[in-house]
Amino acid sequence: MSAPNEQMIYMRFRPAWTYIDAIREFGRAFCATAFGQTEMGDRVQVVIQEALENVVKYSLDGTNSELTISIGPEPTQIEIAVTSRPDPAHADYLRREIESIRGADPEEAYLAAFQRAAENPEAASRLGLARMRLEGRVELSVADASDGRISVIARGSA
Amino acid sequence: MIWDRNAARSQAPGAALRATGPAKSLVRVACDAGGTPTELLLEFLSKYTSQRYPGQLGQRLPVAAYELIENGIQYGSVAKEVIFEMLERDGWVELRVTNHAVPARVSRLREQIGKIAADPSKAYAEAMQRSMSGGKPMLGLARVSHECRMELYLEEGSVGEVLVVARCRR
Amino acid sequence: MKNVEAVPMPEVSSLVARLDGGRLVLEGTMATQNPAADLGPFFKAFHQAIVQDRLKEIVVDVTKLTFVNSSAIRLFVDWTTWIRKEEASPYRLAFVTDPALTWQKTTFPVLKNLAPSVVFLKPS
Repeated sequence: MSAPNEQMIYMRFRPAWTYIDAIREFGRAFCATAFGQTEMGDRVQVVIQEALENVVKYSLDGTNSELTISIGPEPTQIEIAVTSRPDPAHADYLRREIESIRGADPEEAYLAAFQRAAENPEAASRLGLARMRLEGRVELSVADASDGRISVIARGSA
Repeated sequence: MIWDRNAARSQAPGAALRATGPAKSLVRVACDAGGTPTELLLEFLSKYTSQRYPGQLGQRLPVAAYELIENGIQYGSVAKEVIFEMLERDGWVELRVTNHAVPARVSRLREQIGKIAADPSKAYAEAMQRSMSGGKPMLGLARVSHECRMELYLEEGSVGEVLVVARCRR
Repeated sequence: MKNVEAVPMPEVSSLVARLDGGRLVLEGTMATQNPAADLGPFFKAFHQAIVQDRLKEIVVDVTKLTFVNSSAIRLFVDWTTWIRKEEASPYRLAFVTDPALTWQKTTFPVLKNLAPSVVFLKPS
């Protein structure tokens, strides 16, 4: 997006757990300020947290990750993109899961994720993507990025 | 972003030594002037730089960033955005703040940065003295150079765009 | 409450957990890298103590629990599963929530849907 007076954040970081709190807090505060709404900050922080956790847990060693938060072209629109190089199995999972919940009622998709977690107590929780859609009020997509990386993109409106 | 790198020209001693290799952008934040409280960015940068640059550098960079952004807001037009960027290039870390300002303010900024670049310690001492005598201290940029030990220079783009750069070795 | 009161509270820097008049109060954040390892044993021990004490309800005050990650939400899902499987002494899990916190407004109603006979919500 390249609208005039666009507000944005770009960050490049090693996928390490230690960065997540700081990035989430800044993204929350930035968006709450930019939109003049505490709730917008809350929505953004959950998207950042869940997306970055995925990156930290599943990125291949030695690869950098990037986060971009863009507001615009309309002042009510927001896009959060996280780009990384996950291991191939996780990349497949992301594509499948995002495709399967796209367009589904967010609350029903979140409940289905809860049920799946309850039925498989030993498996990973896998609640994050459905939570991003419901709590962040965003739609998710996956796009190929440069150098074999992929971007998970969350788009929503204030 | 309307910065025209080809139109940019150096204004400070030492700027000819500037690194020109490929830049790796680490953090870039753009917001309406006054839109994002500086404290938010500073808090984030403190955590980010302490992880990325353990030791003194990680502590100096947020201080320099704070002063540069404060300076950018002070000099900038409230109608335009202020852009903060941190990048790495050829073994240097650069902090860059871009904004828009009227010509008179740019002249004062150019003069101030020239004095600081010529003798950071002297410029810092003079700023401290101005501060004690109740005048406008203009302490921030002197602090970037003297306390944070960063080279400082100014570039001007078209239509009133101003870029202040502080850099140091990694 | 003898067994419940004897359960050691978890030691996670971002979280304060305490018993206050028989209710479990959680304050701060639960967003560590591995909540199952950091907090799972506490929740399991707390559940077992509630069963041993034959309590009919436990109140969990989360009004000052400002943020959790989804791995921590999983702990609440697991907790409801343990209760549903508890035939001898099932009990109610009553969450005191703050509807002003976005994560609570969205997550607890879904948890209630998952286990309607176990989870009860008490907005503060």
